[in-house]
Amino acid sequence: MTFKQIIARGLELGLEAVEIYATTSESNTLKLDEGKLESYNIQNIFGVSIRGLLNGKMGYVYTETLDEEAIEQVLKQLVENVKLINATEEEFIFAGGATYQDVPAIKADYKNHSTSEKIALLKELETSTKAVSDKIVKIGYCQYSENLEKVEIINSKGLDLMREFSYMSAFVGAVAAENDQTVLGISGDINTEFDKIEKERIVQEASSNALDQLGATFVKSGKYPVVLKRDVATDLLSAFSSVFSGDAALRKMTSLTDKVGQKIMGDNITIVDDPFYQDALVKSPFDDEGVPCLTKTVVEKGVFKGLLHNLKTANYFKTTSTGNGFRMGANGAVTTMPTNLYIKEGTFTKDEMISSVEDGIYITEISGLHAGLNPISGDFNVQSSGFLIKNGKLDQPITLFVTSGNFYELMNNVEMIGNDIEKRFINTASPTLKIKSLAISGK
Amino acid sequence: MSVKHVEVFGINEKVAKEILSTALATGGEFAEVYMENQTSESLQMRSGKLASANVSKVKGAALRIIKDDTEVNCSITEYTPENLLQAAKNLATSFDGRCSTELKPFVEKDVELVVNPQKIRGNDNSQELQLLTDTSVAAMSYSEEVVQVIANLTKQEKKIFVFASDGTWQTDHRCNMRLSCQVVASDGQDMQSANNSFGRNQGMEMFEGFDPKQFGHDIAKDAVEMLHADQIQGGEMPVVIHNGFGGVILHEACVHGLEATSVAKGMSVFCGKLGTKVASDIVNAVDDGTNLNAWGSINVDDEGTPSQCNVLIENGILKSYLVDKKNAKKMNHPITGSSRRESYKYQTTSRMTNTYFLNGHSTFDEIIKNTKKGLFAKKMGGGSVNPATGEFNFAVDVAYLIEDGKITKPVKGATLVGSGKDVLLKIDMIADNLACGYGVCGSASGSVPTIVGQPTIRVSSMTVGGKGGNE
Repeated sequence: MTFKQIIARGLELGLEAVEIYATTSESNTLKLDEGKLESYNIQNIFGVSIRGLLNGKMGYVYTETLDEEAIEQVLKQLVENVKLINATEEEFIFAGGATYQDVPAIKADYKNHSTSEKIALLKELETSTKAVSDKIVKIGYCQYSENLEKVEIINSKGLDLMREFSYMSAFVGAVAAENDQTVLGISGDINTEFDKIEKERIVQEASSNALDQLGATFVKSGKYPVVLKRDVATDLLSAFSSVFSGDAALRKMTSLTDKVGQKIMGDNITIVDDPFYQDALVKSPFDDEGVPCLTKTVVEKGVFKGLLHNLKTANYFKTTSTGNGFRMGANGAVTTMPTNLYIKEGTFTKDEMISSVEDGIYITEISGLHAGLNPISGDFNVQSSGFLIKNGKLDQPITLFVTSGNFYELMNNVEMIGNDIEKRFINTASPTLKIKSLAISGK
Repeated sequence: MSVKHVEVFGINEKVAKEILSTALATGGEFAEVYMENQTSESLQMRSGKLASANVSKVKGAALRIIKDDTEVNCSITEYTPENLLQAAKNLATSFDGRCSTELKPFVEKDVELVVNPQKIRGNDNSQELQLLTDTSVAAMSYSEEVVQVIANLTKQEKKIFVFASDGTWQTDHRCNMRLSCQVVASDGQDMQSANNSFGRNQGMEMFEGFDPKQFGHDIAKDAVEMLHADQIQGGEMPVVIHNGFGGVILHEACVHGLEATSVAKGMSVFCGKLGTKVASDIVNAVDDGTNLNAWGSINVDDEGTPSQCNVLIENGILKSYLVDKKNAKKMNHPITGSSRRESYKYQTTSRMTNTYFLNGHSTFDEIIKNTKKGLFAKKMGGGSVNPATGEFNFAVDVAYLIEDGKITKPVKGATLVGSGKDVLLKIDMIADNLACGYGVCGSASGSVPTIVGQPTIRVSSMTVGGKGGNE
């Protein structure tokens, strides 16, 4: 069936409005192991999410086939399901007719390059990384992939939109070993031009991330001033970005709901959500409901400016959509998510920040964020590794300690902000941050 | 078995042979087609009202060819015989040899069913809605401090069909169903959430004898208790990890490092350790895909190999890895019926099913009584591990202090970290109260349902993270 036919059939079955969200995703992934191609994976996936409105309630179904019998079955199920819903928040389907910012299409050039060039790239990455030091005993991961994502949104109210983007990525995981210790160092690059993939940087970072951690010891428990590497600060911001979500507010899963206009972070903190950020890899003129995206300041000099909304949450909180109605995957319902969320840069270099610390810790890696944080209270406890800082200089590497804190307390205790934000980012970015004090649990 | 190949997937032996021969025409040693039809339904109740009722149908196939150590794989949505044949042709161009492998005749193995879902869907959703309502109401009425209750019921019914050049011709029918609930408690200042879940690979008959009111009540009790708990002060201490979901320690600290994905590449701290001591003498652990209707059980794995009980650790000695067809050859290790994938969109590989420590000889009371000062981790949250280094972490959702052999006050905000190489060697007491938790494990081949389980255990010393204290 065509999209138009599906919409017409949905209306016939009694739905007041019907919307199609169709995704096409293509990817090719190559993995190398010890000079040989280990795996070549080709994907071509198509899926359609259909949502329908009845009495202000929304039903969702998803299917990967458009044959008539299957569509008839899911549409009927949609109508039955939507009648069961008795939650009171009203839902909407966007009428279209809006004006959208002109965003140039982001298209990767991987089709101009042969498979053998891609294998050659991986071989070069593997060989060069291994050649850095005898202590690098293995390249555990050496992977290249290219992705294309296309989204079409069409509804019975006249909306008819399409967006597409593609990119390629390469990453390396280097294993360094010495005595009884094994360390993994990872680095990668995401790009749209094959020839511009930053090979030297990947090799340098993957190898030094591993080698620098060799000989890591344990740290004594206590409270320390801490410098968070920009990647670590980015991971934390990303993990807590749901606190700004209108959907989380509707579910009572954030403590910020009633704090619009209040001071929630330090004077030096400004957080922006910018769908058109200059160098960002994904730029969206519209969200997954077809509402125009817009640039907004979420936190300005520590003051909370407002939640990120979709049509439903905006109506519930009696405001307008901020164009943040996005889906979690092709078959997910519309929720609220940031576009390109970042902490505004400061003026310090990373070295200046480290040299300001007499006795503290530089954290270079955290893991366990999916489990070790509470987005409601803001508390987090994460496995960490990094370096001691002694008299303003990086000292001994340290590992297997836990960094504990609270996101809001942390954002009130930022003493210095770096000038080193990664400009070519996806979703979230932060510069290096120096924090007055965090609880560290080790030996 | 209940799935009819030709009816559901439109493939007969002749077509299957044609696809596989095409795939092997350029020198491939092994070719396989995996087909699947999946229907997922999810109901979500928020504060006692149904907020969403969604259905999702996933349908597609994956075709792969293996030659030497190279695997080429292709995942497609529309799996008509013509499309599969075309995909086989395209994939075969990855190699440039001559046909060297003969197809073995298809043989469907007779598998004793360990998973056999019955009541998957009735005429209406009334039983499902009643379960969600009972859970929600019990949680909401526990305390005025309960501000939100989100209850979910998810059903994922899957029919799969695998055929391969080694003669594999196998189907499976699964239904992973799970009730989960999250409760948020608030005193106007602080907010705290707690959750739990109950899942089986079975139809609605799994809820016979299940008490949703007790289930909802207990989660609300945890949320309110943790709301008023003090932050734990971090440091090194003995940790008693309770039964059930506590088994996440075995899952993260050890068994991810036994999966062939890591071992075959030399990327695990457990490489080359078969037959050696990896845990203290009292430790026995299995990965058993054959537990009747259990959440992580399967009749056959996603390569068509019947599931089995794999003894991983026996009296502290490492006995087996978890190995799929491709890695079995590379590692010279028997296939363990462990190859799993979230869907046709992922390349299948070795994964866990139901993984747990076996009972020991102590009792729960003895363990607490013999612990002078430490942490009692009653309910664990999720965790993660880096198999290459063996370093792992996991969150503790509900915890108490142990002082002078007694469980005293509740504490929150604990995270445990350690190294897989030594934590299992530090297990010094194991109780006799084996129980299971219902997890979803995310790894190389996507998210798959897995049981994590154990009796109560004591680890003599672990690093506990937490922000309390007054240094």
